[in-house]
Amino acid sequence: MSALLRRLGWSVVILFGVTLLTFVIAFIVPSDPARTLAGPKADRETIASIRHELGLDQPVPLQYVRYLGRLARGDLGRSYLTRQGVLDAIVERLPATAFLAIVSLALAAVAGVGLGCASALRQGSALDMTVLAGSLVALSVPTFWIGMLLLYVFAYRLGWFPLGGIGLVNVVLPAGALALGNAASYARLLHTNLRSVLGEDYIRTAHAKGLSAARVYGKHALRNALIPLVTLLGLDLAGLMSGVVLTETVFNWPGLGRLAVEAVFNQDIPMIMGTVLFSAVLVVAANIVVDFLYVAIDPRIRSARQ
Amino acid sequence: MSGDGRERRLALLGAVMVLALVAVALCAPWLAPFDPLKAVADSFGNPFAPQARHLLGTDELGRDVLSRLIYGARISLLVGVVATGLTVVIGVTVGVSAGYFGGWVDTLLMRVTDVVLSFPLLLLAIALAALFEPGLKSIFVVIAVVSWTGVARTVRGDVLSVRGRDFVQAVHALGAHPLRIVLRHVLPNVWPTILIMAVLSTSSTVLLDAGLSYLGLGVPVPTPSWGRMLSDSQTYYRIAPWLMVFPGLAIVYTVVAFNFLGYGLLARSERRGRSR
Amino acid sequence: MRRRALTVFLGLLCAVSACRSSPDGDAGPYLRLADQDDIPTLDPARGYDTASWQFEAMLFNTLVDYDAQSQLVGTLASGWEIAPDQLTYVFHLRDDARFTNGRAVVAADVAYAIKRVLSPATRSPGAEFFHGLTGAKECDTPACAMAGIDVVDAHTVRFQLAAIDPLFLHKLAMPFASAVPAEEVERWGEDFGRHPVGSGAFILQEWRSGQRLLFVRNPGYFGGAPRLQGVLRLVGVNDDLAWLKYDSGQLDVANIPPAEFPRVIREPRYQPLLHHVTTMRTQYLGMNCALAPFTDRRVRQALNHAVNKEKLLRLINNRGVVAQGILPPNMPGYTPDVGAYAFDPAAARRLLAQAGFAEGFTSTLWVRNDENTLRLAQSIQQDLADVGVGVQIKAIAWGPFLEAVKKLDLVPMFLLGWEADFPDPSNFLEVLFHSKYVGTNNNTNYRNATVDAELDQAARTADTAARFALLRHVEATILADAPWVPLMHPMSYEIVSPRVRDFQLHPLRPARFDHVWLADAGRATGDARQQSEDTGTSAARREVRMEPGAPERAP
Repeated sequence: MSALLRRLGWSVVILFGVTLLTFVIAFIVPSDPARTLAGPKADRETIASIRHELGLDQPVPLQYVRYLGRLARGDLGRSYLTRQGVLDAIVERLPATAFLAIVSLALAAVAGVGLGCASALRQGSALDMTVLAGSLVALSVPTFWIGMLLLYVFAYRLGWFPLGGIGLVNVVLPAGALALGNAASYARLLHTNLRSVLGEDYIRTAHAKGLSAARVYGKHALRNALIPLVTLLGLDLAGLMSGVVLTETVFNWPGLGRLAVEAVFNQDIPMIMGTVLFSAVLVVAANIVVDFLYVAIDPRIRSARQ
Repeated sequence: MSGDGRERRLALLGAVMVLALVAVALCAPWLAPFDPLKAVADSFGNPFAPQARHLLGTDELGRDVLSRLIYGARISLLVGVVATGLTVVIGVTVGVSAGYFGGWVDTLLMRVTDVVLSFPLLLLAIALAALFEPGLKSIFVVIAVVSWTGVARTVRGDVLSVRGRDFVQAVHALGAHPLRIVLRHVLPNVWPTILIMAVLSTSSTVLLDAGLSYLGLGVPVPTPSWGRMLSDSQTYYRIAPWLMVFPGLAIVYTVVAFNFLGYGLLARSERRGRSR
Repeated sequence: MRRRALTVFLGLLCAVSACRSSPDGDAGPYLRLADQDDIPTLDPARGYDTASWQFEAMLFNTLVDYDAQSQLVGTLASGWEIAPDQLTYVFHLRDDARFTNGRAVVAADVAYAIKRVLSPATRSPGAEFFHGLTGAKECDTPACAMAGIDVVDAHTVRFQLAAIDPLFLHKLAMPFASAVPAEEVERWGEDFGRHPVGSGAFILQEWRSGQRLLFVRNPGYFGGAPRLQGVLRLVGVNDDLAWLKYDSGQLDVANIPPAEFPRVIREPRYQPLLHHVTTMRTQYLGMNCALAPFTDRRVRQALNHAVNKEKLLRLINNRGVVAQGILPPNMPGYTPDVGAYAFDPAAARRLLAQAGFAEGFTSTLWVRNDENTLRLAQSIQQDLADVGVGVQIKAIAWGPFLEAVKKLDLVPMFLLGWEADFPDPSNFLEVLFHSKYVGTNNNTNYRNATVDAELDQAARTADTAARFALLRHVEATILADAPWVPLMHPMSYEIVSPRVRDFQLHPLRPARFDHVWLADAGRATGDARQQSEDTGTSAARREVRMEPGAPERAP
């Protein structure tokens, strides 16, 4: 328990570090937010007055403190482009990305676990070799390129999937493109873990005790091999919130990733800072949750504590 | 043992692929049939399909795709090597400092690593690349800034285990200067890990660079870059779908080459480690 | 066991995709549009881009507006008088205009709107257009008292200018001057842009950010309720996707993606559905007259001869016309043959040699980091290389690009465009070439005292013919000095579905929908063939066949 509390404490420190880094990034960027807000046809006076309105003519540390204050109130500022509240915009787009991320992870988990187990149980076979080499190739493919190809072949040429929209059918292609890399790494992880677990003493003991193969593999081996995967899934889910950027661009998916990229290209500093901060907070939260989960499901840690 | 042979074959295959790529990049002026920057066909706004004169077709500005692909290898390798070099330098410095000195140095550096790792790194790379002046130097720095953490953590782990060994304790007890210890005793034992991390970093660097170029943030136009060739191809995908295929295959080939080499070496060293 | 689950899952997937619902059901009663980007804002004081203006025009009204011939007619104003000294304008408002919250539009609303634009807190990009009103600079809140705007009574408002401004009426036609209800602006504050309340032909019913906007007709609109039930504007649909949706009957209005364009304009069945207009926009290559070697007029003229503009047009599939001069062809006051340069690389090399650059020189071309602009830039780079000028392309984001260009000593060459705000030559010639605008929009650092004097004189001349004569001379002088290489005037193309009627493109403003109607309004069928046969109008329309469902394949 004390270890977990210490982790929580460090997480708070990390969160502060994240806000500081976000603020610094927005600051050292060589573009003038007042000019961006004013637009191409504005004159110097308008720009100067805008700068004053935004408080950009105040000393930097003071601006950081004011920024922290606003964060504490939940005010992430307003987009330079649309004047919409940043937090509102993020919350509006979040479900689409979450949907894509969850479906993609589910696909990756099913495929990865399936292939990983199959190859671990049949070591040295052709399947094993294919899975291992194939997973390396799958990890090497740029997600956006696979997305482009899938879109062209399955949506445009074959017409099996629609070319836009955000329904259950529409999520298949982008989720598939995203899932490829993750499935490959899960397969490799399962393969390695299962192989080492299968060599452990307690597996041989279970065999010797006469337990059926299904019970041995299912209850003992798989469960232990899956534990690291569960934690990885949690972290990947948080990480996917930002990893979807390119996929959402290719498929025109109206989620957080597209919001962030549009903000970058529009030099919309508050939106950039907001989305970056939001993703970082999500990752820190996921780390904490995963730590709790790990303690809860790993019997070795639990029994060690008792 | 068949397992060991398999890893060795993989690493070998990767090495051969990398060498072939380097050869293509170096011999570009002799291999490429046309100047990649000049219009050599009258295909403005209407790319030509693969044909006898242009084996992979031409793009919408009249340039030969094959030539651009070959010269694109130069850029990919340049970015891969330099950005990875920078990544490794930063990562090794942080990892060795944290692992060797321990204590508050370790804690501070690891917390900084945690902060950086919390960030959506792809998004961060895009934001930095877009907000700073575009160009090769920016790309090197941006990629290094978001990629060093993996190297740092791995190297730190290795340094920790080396530091615990008897001979290092002994030399330290004798009062040798830390820098000397690091250079003469720690690094020589850690360099295989560094090498493997460098190779694996190169593959992720090339992927990241492809993504950034796709968004228009890579090398400035008209220098050929595979990622940008992919994004340019999207406008013409209906009448020239082949423009989408070849640059992507080139990227996959490059990343696979480094991955085979890196993972092959990694598996070999793990196997060695376990059997020791 | 896992494998079986996988098989079941895949089977389900195929089943679901096979019986996917028909795309968006039937055509519906709304006019359906789509675009890639979301609309930045619907607050008339803030919006300064095409998308915002298009929909603000649907929701709000100004005192005056342009008709199809770009002539000014009264909208909220039933009439107006201009005093002989050209400094006082009195407008009379119609009495049947109402905001959609129920109350009547009065003169105070017009005054409030303009004062709001002038207030620094609003950060309106349109503030500068109204600085000519007396007391404008001192106006700090929408409730300020300024001599330049006087609410005489509920239906009369008087404007007082500090100096003669022949363009004042045009400025009142800009969406910045739309009448807005003060109580709603104060109620919504910064969010008024997402909850707009106006007096216009349509009402915003729904806005799902990043997905869609739905506008419905305003039955109480003083100009007559629109025949359309509403307009549905989808977001996040790029040009290619929009085209495919259009082709399968899911959109009523669409742009034509570059890859489709050559085929579409040749195919007979699309002919009656195409609309195009030459925009009042000029794309140009600007040269900084204060940076060597562009200080020498001969170098600038040489570049004018070196660029192959026809090739540029081919890159954009001929969706434009070659720019001979600075002004676009449908600008009132346009004159052809005002001093164009022919494509002549030999002449270019001769001029360069005369200027001492027989070996050529190197320079940097700054452009916005945008795919289409980069293509044009690369084509120009090739042309200039052919005459010995080695150009490096520097592509940066829009904001920093504008910053850099307005610094007077940084950017030697750049690609930019200028779109007219109002249909008057001075909107190009004065804003871009008068020396007092160096640092604002005179990005080429062009200074010519004669041109300045003539521009100042034109600004004081109320007689249109005399003004245009002066400005013609100005344009000829500028072209001879060649601070620009005018490249092209883009053409705007849109295609509509067969059921759309009375759609019209405007050279100066985005397309409006007040008078558009749908031939099958009220009927719930998605069969395009059925619709086109029911028009009963031109035979050409009856020939149109469009199968909803399967997207068109490229040949």
